[in-house]
Amino acid sequence: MRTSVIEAYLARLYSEPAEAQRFLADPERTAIRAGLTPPEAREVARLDPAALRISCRVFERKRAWKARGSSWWRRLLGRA
Amino acid sequence: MNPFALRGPEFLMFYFALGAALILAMVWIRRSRESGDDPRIDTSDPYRIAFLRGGSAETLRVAMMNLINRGLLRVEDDTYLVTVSDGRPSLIRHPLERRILEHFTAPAKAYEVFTDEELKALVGHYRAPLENAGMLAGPSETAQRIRWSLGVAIVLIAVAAAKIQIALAAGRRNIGFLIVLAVGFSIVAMVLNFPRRTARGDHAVRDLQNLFAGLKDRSSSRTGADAADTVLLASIFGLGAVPAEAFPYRDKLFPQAASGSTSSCGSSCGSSDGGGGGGCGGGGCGGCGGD
Amino acid sequence: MAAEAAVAAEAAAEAVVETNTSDRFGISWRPELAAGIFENMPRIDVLEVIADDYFHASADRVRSLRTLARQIPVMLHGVGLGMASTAPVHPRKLAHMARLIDKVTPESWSEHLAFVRWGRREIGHLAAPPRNEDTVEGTLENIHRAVRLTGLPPHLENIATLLRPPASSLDEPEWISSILRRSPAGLLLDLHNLYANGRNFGYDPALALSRLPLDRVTHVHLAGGRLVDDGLLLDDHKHPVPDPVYELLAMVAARSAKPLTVILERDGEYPEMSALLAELDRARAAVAKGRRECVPA
Repeated sequence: MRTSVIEAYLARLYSEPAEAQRFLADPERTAIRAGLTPPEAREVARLDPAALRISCRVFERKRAWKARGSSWWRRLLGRA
Repeated sequence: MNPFALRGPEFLMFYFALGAALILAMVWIRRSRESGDDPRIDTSDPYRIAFLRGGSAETLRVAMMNLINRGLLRVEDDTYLVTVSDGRPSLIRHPLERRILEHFTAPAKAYEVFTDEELKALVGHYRAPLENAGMLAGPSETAQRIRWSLGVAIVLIAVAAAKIQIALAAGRRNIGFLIVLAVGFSIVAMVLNFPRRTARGDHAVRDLQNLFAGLKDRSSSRTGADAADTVLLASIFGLGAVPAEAFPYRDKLFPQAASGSTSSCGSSCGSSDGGGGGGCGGGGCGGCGGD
Repeated sequence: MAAEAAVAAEAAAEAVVETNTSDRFGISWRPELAAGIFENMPRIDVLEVIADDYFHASADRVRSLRTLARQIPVMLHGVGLGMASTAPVHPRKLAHMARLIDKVTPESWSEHLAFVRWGRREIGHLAAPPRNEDTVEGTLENIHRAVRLTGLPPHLENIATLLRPPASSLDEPEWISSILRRSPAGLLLDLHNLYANGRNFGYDPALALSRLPLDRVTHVHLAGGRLVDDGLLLDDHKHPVPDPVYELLAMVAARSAKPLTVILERDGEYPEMSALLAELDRARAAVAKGRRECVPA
């Protein structure tokens, strides 16, 4: 089990709503398509869907709030 | 290089650079000497903050606004103020507020308080503690500033005089520009070196404006702010920062103050990269959303 | 690396034990609360300031924070370093934190046991990493990077999570203990996070508390949250501290001989200041109760 790969995928899942949607529809296959091995994908697929939905909303709102608070040049450079 | 050997236009450029450098150095040295330790933030008396930021008239304006917001003063015909009959000035503890209520026992125009000698004396009581705290220029700072300004003016006038003498000896009469520059720089040296507040006082005001930026943001997003918050807001940022909803008489009673006394912090405050608050847990670590 | 870390941990664990002489109670600094905080300074012992808010602030704003820190003990609290990860802590943010510590000279600083990004991908908030030996090692390396740059060991805070982190071989108390055992960091114990996790994952927070290294706890967070879908408790910092959290606080006070610094966190839907002060008073009462029942661990 490669922890760093799983961490990277979790970060993608939490920050990319489209990937989260795909994952919620078909967890294991989506994770494998993203480069995880079948055992890693099985592990990630155990994430609770309801908790994942709420968490993704929380993360998305936080990102939006931070982007609002950052200066225009940071947003321009995509560093919000 | 002997600057006195420079030709007219070149010497004027040299003189301009010399004057600007001397004045900048003088201001920098004054601010360094007067900056002292970090100021202490004390919000226990908002009128002291108003006095530090804007002086006597501003303090009286903030106090009148506060009394109106608390229902102790009433506005009549958008111009006159009158103490509310059951306001019972004797129950008001703050001497400044009590005296203002006494002043308006009979209807009077708001600006008339500025000529009330007793009020002037009461507001003047804020000066000494702020001078002792090194936030307003007191006698010692003023004496120091006079010495520095005179020193700079003497150097500038002496240099100009020397060059004028050389020019006259050489039979040249085009010395008008130099005289204008010498007089101009001397006036600028006097004017720039005598602000009311010291650098430490400026720091205190900016610290307050930075730390209380949230008060300003909050006041603009809500109506019916409580009187304590509103008076603090007006004291720190000026009446211009008080939203019309919180003080509807602002523009009618104090038009100049309302338009000209807003925050001096420019982009430095309120541009927090997530200074907390907001509807999403702000910059803190709480989660948000969920429904 | 681990042996070296353990030696450093022992030496710095001594250093992280502050010179506090008694329990203190404070509040998280929010500009919206500034007026209430200044009006009630005598009832507030310490303030905790979100450090990230000042990473890109003007020199003027940073100086204002320093002015505040001269007036009341200030602790800087980071939310964006990403300490608990196999990935290195964000170098630029760490440099910002070090500079801020240098300029403000806070009493201490803290961060979360969370990962917040991978590469350039920002999650936006605190996420629980897999709790296993890899993230223990990664976190230890990050702590040592942080100590090297800031000169101060951080206090690390347990986070609330709605998601059971995958690829975990350790439970939360084991994972936190493994990190603290081998590092100089202190534990900033967020009791609402502990309570929320216990509730969301069906374990007894009091039992979890007893398995944490309470001898490393000098700082405690209190907050409140709300129930969301599926009965999950979201730690949103917008609600009063629930009763069970005060009970946990009394337990910590009973089992720890060290002076505690208790911080009440509030991130929105601000009530009147009197309500927050009443919560601080309840925290004082809980600590006093715990101190009376002192049961050294």
